[in-house]
Amino acid sequence: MRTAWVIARNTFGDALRKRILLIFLLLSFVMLVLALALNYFTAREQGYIFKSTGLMIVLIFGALISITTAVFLIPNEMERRTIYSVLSKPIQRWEFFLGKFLGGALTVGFMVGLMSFALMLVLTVLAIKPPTSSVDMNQTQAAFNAADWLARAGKDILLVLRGTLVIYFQLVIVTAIATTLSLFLTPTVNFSMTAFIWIVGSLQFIVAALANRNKESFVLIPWLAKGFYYLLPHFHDFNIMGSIISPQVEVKVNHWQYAATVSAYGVAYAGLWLLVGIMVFDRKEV
Amino acid sequence: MADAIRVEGLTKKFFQKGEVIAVDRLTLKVEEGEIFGFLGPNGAGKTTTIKMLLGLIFPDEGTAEVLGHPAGDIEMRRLVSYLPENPYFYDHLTGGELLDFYGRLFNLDARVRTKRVDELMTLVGLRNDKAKQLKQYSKGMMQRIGIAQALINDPKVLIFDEPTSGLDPVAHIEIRNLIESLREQGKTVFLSSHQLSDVELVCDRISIMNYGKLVKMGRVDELLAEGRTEITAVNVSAEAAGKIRAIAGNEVSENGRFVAICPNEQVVGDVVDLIRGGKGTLISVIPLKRTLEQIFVETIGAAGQPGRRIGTMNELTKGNAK
Repeated sequence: MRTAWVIARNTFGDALRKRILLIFLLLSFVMLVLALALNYFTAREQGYIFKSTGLMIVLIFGALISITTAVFLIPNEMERRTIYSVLSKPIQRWEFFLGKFLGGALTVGFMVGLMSFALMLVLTVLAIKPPTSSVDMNQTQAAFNAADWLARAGKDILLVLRGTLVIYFQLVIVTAIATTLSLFLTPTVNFSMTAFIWIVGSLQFIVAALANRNKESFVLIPWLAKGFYYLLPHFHDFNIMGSIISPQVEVKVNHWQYAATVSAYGVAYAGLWLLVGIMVFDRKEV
Repeated sequence: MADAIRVEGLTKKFFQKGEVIAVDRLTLKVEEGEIFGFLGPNGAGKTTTIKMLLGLIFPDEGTAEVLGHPAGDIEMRRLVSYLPENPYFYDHLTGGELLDFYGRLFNLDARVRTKRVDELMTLVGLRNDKAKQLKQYSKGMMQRIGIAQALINDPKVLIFDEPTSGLDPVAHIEIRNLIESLREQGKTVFLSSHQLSDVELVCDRISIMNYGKLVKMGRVDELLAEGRTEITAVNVSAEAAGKIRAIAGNEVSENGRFVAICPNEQVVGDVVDLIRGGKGTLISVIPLKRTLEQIFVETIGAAGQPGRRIGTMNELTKGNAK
């Protein structure tokens, strides 16, 4: 495991140099600024739109970053032939594979962390001003209250942290899928395939509906949908936007407990893909 | 002497538009402490064999052992090192960081790593470039750092694939001397190279592969010894010269000197006796040697490389004329 960590650290250092990841990161910042502008033009309560849009930006750019990173993790090693000098050292193949994945997951974590930090920063600034709908004129004109500000900012930061945690574990699955598929597919095909899995996984509620329809004219569709439903990850379970957009709706669920549960599911599901990857890589000729 | 590398019936097939046998029932042994030259034209199966020895690819048939461990075994890889052909390393790292990274893969502790990195950077002449990123290294510097990484674990067996490729003449000689010094330390070197002059100078034994098959193997000195001997003498009588011509069948006279080329040792003795019997003076008896390049060309020519020969400009001109 120690060796896997050595590989992971090196992979992280290597991945951070990739210009395309930095471009995605910059684009996500630009999108956050645009979302902030949108926030001022909406009639709804200020902040809610920005929080949900902000987390959606983190998710989409996080997915782009994780797929782009993972599809090249092992093919690049083979193309540049750096893999020869590493695998000829006393290192188990599973350690190398796991190390590459962990390096990718570390990179995604770092990038998602930066995007979330930017989101939290903006929300902290926004929290200076109390939400417009829940405020009366007296409050608006009242003197600036630092304790209130910090309380509002703290609440927003916790919400973003919870959202980031759930998004990150969703992306851990995406990274595991792309890393494993990179053993069979070219980076371009792998990018499309992983993106397809991510999209279908995010729309599993539609897939479930298709799987349960018996009157379908084309008999293959329910079977195909059932296959997708049981095999592909349930990314829609990672969607916590509802609790942000509609905070007034009472739910009898502990949000943090829910986040921990889906995160555990993310680790377990990613683990299964990694297991397949390790078995394949063990006999892969390089 | 024990075997450092033992290969028996090693076979590797690839499937690319039909079956291609990259290595065909290869059997060879490399003794501990020797420098073994592994030669062959491009596509002969040298790198495929090396990859099988390191466990990077898997044989279809046959077995390979290095220092008594199965090829590719993790214990084997603790004792072996490898320098790939045209090495490319993680260029976001500095030279020192790269060696430290490989040291970590061998689980060397921090103190040993630091000492070893400094020693190796000095050994390969990159002490002043330790903090420089690899992307700033020239091709020759990459080759040097490649050799340094191959020595990080103080290996018993070193597998070098074209170690002098891309080096300037001075660095070339330095690396060759380094390889020779490895023998003095009792290390075994498995050297795959197209630099036949280097191989001739440093290797104890060589093997030549062609189309996946081993076509020649032996001690370098024995292969180079042609078997013919040149005898030079003066004041050889006409009668003795006639007799020598009859048995040696190959004599010339240069500047009053009589030169006979003897086909074997028996004839050498007879010619020497005839010269002395005819009151001639023996100047020299020199066994003639071939170069490794001649042996290589003869061997590969005999085994055939159809369709791969590079023609001459004259042939091109003749072709155009037609």
